[in-house]
Amino acid sequence: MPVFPPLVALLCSLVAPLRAEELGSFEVPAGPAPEVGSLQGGATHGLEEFRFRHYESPDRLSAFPDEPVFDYEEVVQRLQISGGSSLLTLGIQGDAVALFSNEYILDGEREIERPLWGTGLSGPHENWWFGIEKLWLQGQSGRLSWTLGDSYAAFGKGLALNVVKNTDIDVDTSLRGVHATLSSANAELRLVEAVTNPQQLRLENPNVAMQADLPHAIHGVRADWYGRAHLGAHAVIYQFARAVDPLGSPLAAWPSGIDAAVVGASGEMSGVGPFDLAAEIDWIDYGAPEVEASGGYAGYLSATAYPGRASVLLEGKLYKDAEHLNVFSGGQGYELAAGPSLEYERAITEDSSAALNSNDIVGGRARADFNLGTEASTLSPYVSLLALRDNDLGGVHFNTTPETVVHGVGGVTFVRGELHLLANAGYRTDLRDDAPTENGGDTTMHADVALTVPISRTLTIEIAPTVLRYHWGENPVQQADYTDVSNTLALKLGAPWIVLVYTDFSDNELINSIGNLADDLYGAAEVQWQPTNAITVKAFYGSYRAGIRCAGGQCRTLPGFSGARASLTANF
Amino acid sequence: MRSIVSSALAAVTVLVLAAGSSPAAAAPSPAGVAIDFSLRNLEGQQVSLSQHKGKVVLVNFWATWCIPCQVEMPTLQRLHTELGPKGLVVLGIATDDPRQEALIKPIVKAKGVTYPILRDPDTRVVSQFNPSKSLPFSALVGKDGKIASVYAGLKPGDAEAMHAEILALLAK
Repeated sequence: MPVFPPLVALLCSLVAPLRAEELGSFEVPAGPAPEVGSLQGGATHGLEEFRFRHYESPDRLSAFPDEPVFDYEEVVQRLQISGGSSLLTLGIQGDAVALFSNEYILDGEREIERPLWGTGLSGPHENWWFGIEKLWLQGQSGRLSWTLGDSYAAFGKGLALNVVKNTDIDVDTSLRGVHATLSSANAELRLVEAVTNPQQLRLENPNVAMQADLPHAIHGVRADWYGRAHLGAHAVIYQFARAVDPLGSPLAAWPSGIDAAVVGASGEMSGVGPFDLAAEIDWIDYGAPEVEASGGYAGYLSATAYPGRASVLLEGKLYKDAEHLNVFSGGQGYELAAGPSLEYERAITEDSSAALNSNDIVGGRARADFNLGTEASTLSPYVSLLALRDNDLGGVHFNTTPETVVHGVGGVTFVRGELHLLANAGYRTDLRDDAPTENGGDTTMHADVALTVPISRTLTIEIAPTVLRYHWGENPVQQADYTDVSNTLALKLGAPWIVLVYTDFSDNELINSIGNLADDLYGAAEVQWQPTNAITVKAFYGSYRAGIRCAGGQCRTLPGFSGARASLTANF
Repeated sequence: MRSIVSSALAAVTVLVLAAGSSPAAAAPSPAGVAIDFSLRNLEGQQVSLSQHKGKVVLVNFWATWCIPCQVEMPTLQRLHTELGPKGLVVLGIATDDPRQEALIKPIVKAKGVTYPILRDPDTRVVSQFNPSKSLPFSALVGKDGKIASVYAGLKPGDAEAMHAEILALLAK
């Protein structure tokens, strides 16, 4: 019963923190837990985000080849305000969207080409909507902190629960309900009782055919104990909402029965010989009739050592039927739970995204970072090698037999004053069992650089090219090899002004955008104005391509854009 | 064409209204007191903002996947080394979700960072300081606990401006 003593210590420490020390088995961090709330007074924080987009479409009505009737405009407005004291904070986020010129009249018939509302849905107005998207009340008193309303939560390594905001890929799904944490110096007990609340309105991407939210119910508890080791255990129950007739009762979408139950435990310990160790294991039991597997599991292990000026990180993962948890939310563009992917996410392709979501994968990654800098400069190269065995053939996999993935990446960061250089390059091959030769396997070569050079006090040049060459191995759905090239050239003219020129090239036939300079070539320019540190105004004209974009371990296929945009972001 | 013009006018109107409502409040010196927080550092110990009351605190939000954040780290380290003995506290808050957190310590070591790194895996604290969660983002808190200024993004001259502002706050 190895878990029992830590749990006893945890419960005891929450009741009376000294009891954990009295048990004598674990080292407690020195010093009492800092009291929260001793800062006096109140504060209000806010964020204003405004977006205007004019979409240009190459499509034309055959009878009117000169009329850009499919062009349209979109205005998005998001305002977040939170205020209160250290003891109690109230927050609210209001969103609004309006579409203009999204319809035309042909032969007396009104045609709405870009409807705001999805099939069967309607709002108070055909072409605009506003609402309270997020609302939360957050409190803190002694050892108890709590949120009523919208919050975010992640347990352990995220294998059991991981609902967090990811601004970089326009994902903002929160948990609406109760999120409470009872904590002491060496223990924490967290409770989540909520339903998912995806953002109804996308800030950076087109809002057309909006769909109704599906509120998946989540009931979770997580206990953590911090001592000589950090030990944790959690349990999460999922009840998934199903798509229903939008004209029917909303209660029909409400989940019933347990669709998935996850229990897991994690541990971290520093100074085990030369290593810092971390591990987690989760078991999943599925009750959802849509999921073929009756159960699954996921395991993750990492070991880090710091020899000399190097950091060496070894990670391993074993995921079996764990990704089914995301089947119900994946269609809405977010994931409820996902563990470390170990992937280099700046080079994820249509093919390698399958391994991200594999239901039968095992492997590991070794990475070594080096600190070779001096007092005046930072120089930190790294090398990384990933090896995975992917046995899953379902989902978006293009292969019909299992494959072995090998991916090596190297890079360097150099910073000296305002001179910055970041460079990464790698080679990946996915060797299928039925075609283990170089020509039969999928291969990816990629490189990216970001170089910032100060020219004078008022001019800094930044150039950031990336290139990716992808070769499809032989497969039943044969695709064409492709090359992606992009570059950003930024001229930073003193503090407030930045001029950027973007160029993209892609001959990937799987993406659904067309360039404005040529079919495969995209160009754009942007001016940014930052009158204060808290305000950014941007004006953009041109085009960029569609594609897979990843950030923070999550990936999404985002649409391309052609037209003009203006935006305002202000913190206050 | 008329609809484009009208929609453009509508957009400009909304922009003006939006802009008009913000700059006054979005001055570089918000008067609010920083809301207190308590997070665990990489060793599992709780660290709160209020335990540094009376000092100038630079709260820097970053993530392992954020390239400008890593570019900014040497600057923050220099501030920590030079001005730490004079009363500056630099708190780096890693907003990585748990999927990426194994990279936090190696990157911190590789960049030679010695100031405290805290974890905010639920993004609870970054939500309070910067609801958009765009990175990097820094808030400079004065000895009186008030937010003196915020730095959104990374741009040339930020390092110098931050240095000068911290010196002024330390002198108060």
